[in-house]
Amino acid sequence: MENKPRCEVRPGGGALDRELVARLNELINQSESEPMQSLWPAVREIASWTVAAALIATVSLCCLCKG
Amino acid sequence: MSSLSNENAAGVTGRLPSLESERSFSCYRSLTFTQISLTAAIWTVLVGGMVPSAGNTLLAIIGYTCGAVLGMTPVLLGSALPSFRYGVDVIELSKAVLGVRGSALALAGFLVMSLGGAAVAFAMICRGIGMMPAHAGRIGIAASEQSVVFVGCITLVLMYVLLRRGLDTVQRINNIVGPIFVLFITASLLLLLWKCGLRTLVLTNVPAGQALTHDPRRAFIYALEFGATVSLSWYPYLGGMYRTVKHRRHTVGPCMIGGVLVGGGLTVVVSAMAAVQFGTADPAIWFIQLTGPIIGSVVVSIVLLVSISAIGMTVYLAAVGAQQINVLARMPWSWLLALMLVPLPLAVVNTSWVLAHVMTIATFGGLIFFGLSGVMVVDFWILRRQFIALEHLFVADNSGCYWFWGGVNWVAIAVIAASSAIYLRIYDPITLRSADAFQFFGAVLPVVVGSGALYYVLAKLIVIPSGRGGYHACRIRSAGEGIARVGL
Repeated sequence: MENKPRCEVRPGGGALDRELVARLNELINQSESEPMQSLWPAVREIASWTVAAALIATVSLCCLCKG
Repeated sequence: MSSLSNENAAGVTGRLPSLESERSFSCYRSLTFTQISLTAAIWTVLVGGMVPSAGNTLLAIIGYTCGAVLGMTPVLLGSALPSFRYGVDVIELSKAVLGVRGSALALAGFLVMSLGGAAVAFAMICRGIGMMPAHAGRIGIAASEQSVVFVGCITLVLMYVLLRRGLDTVQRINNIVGPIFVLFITASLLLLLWKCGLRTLVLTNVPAGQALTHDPRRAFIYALEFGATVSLSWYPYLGGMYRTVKHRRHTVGPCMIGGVLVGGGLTVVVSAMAAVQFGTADPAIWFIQLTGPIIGSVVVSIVLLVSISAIGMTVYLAAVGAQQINVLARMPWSWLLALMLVPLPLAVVNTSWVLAHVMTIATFGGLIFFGLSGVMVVDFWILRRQFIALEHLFVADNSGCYWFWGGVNWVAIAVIAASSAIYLRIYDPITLRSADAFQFFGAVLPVVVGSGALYYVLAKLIVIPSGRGGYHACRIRSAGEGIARVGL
């Protein structure tokens, strides 16, 4: 199935705008490319770092910060 | 497919969405070293020298590291991952939140912060290297002022040549520079351990008169704040780098390990301990005291020189961001770079004025990104569920999804203004004075969370019911109804 263009150059657009349109149409139709896949695995990885840092901070506050 | 000339290719691709096939960061090691060389620069050494002033060195080191990881979370969620997905930098993406005209606010903050910060770092590097012969007693102060200008000119030419070749060249240099910097910092750590011992290093604190607080809890929160703020200052930059990352599996590890722990964390820890032991936060002095006058001078010169690639990267990303301005987008890349480099030689001529004023301006320019990060995280992950109509970021009239009210999302702007005001009420980043509320979680992390929560409520109450911002319509229009008329 041929992909339909989703954008066009605005009136008076130049070479840069044509390049932009070509790229946008290519990107939008690349739904199977890696960047377009779900980002949740990356979020899980971030969450593990965040939870670890929060735990260390909490333990430090409780154990080391007794005035 | 590109129809662009080679002259423009290096820079123009900075404004255009990057295609998957042309993404240059395809290797874990390369991205890690780039992150290291960006974060392990001279400014991190200076921050490290300031960290023990929290009052307790051990708590400051733990607090800073935890804060740096926590602060990097909104940066990755709001800037890096959306930029990785859509191949555009964070200033472009901010149009989905601030409106196609409202994103000028983010651009202004970004340029002020980048060029101000680059000017300060550049001035310090030139002064550091140029004054070295005077410190060694080889030449007089007047002659060394001339050598500062001479070093500035040479550095500027080097940076221009480096940047003119584009991101690939900067990346290749970073692959060499990153490990060199880490090598020096690790060697300094080993020397410190050998000379002082671990127990002395972590248990010696700054003199009581120099401490910001004597309350251990508050000292920890101060360090947490320093770490989170330094990480959040990468918010406008990381998107520019992540738009050229090829694989999803490289999006978190290199940043957390290379940027936060090795580049930032290790450098800060070593600088903090050295600053306490030698009684000065100035790396030029403690490096020399640690390694001796000759080796110390050579090491300081190399450390300063390797920081040039980090400044170069900042200027490169500023030049890419500046292409949001139509006139600059059409300017040849070499001219645009020259324009971006103009503030740097001015900084060399009057370093003390730059340090006194530009740093303050750059700090306040960066404030908007604290609120913006919270708003963008909520907007991208919760309100838009990871979907942005890429083509509509480039529609500059009311037919686009992100037109809001006359091209500006006033609700988001109000949230950012309120969050900046609240941040300054809790904590003054210049004088480091803090209000009572600061002792619980610091200032920046609550501001990020609070601005996200406030925007969520206001978007549900005002923006989405008004039918603006494309929260409903964008998916339908992007799915095939209508053709967007786009332009840079």
